Amino acid sequence: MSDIYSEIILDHYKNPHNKGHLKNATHKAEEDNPLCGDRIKIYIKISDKKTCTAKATQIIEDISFEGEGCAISQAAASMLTEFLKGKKVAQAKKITPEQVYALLKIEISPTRSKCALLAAKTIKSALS
Amino acid sequence: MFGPSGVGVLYGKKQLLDKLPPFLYGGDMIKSVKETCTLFNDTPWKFEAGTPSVADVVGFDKAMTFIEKLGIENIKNCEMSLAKKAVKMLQTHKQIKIIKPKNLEESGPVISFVIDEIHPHDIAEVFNKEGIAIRAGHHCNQPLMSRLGIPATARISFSIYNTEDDINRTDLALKKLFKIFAK
Repeated sequence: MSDIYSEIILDHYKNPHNKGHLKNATHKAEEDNPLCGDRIKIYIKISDKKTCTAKATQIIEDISFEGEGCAISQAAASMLTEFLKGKKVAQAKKITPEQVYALLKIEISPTRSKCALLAAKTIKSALS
Repeated sequence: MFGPSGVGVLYGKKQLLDKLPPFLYGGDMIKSVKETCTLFNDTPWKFEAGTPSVADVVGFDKAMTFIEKLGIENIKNCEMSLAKKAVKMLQTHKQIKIIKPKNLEESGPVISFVIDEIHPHDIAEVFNKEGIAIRAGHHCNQPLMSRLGIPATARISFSIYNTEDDINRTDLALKKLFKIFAK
């Protein structure tokens, strides 16, 4: 089994990317895991990307998070916001647990899945 | 109590239990049934409807015999002596904040602690890798956690199967934990 505290997880936990309040956010949401006390707040700035083709596409121009909790929940928020920056809103809405696990590159036990998926859940509720 | 799960004891005053209606219907809990009236059995059979959980009850009896043979006082002394040694070990790590009553006897051989910047679930996870099982969470006491201003605690509890070597191994696990989470 891969070590849950891999270098990449610990690096994101100790030096999180996209952490802090986002000015001009168009969407935000806050979620927590009451059982363990993990808490994530997500800020998203959505903009329309105009292309030569007829329809404009909504993209995540900027995204950030604030929060506290275990290493897994906080590293996942850092990695997921990094991954989704510049991506289509439609893609973020459809993000699956498998995609999050693939991003984290560690094996998540059932007891830690809520920690790993909290950021994804918060992003979805911000976009809904 | 080292016994099977799914079995326990209901302890109550006989005159009060006699007043209670059965909570479950089945074999053994009736004296007689007529078309016009039903007479329930006496206490305790009134509460023992259907086939009893025989294997669990036999196991429970053996568990109590085991505890009686060791002696409650002996068990307490063994567990408290380990707990006191564990507190001493934990106090050698300045990052650890122990949450316990002033007199350890009041909390029994159970020691809660927190570490700044390391979530209790991360502590438990690293301990687990080192073969040490502890509990982490709010321990069914969320109001106390919010009063203390912490999300959760890590909690070590000792039983008769623990040894001083377990404390040494916990010490090593803590050193590993601090290494992993070093800034």
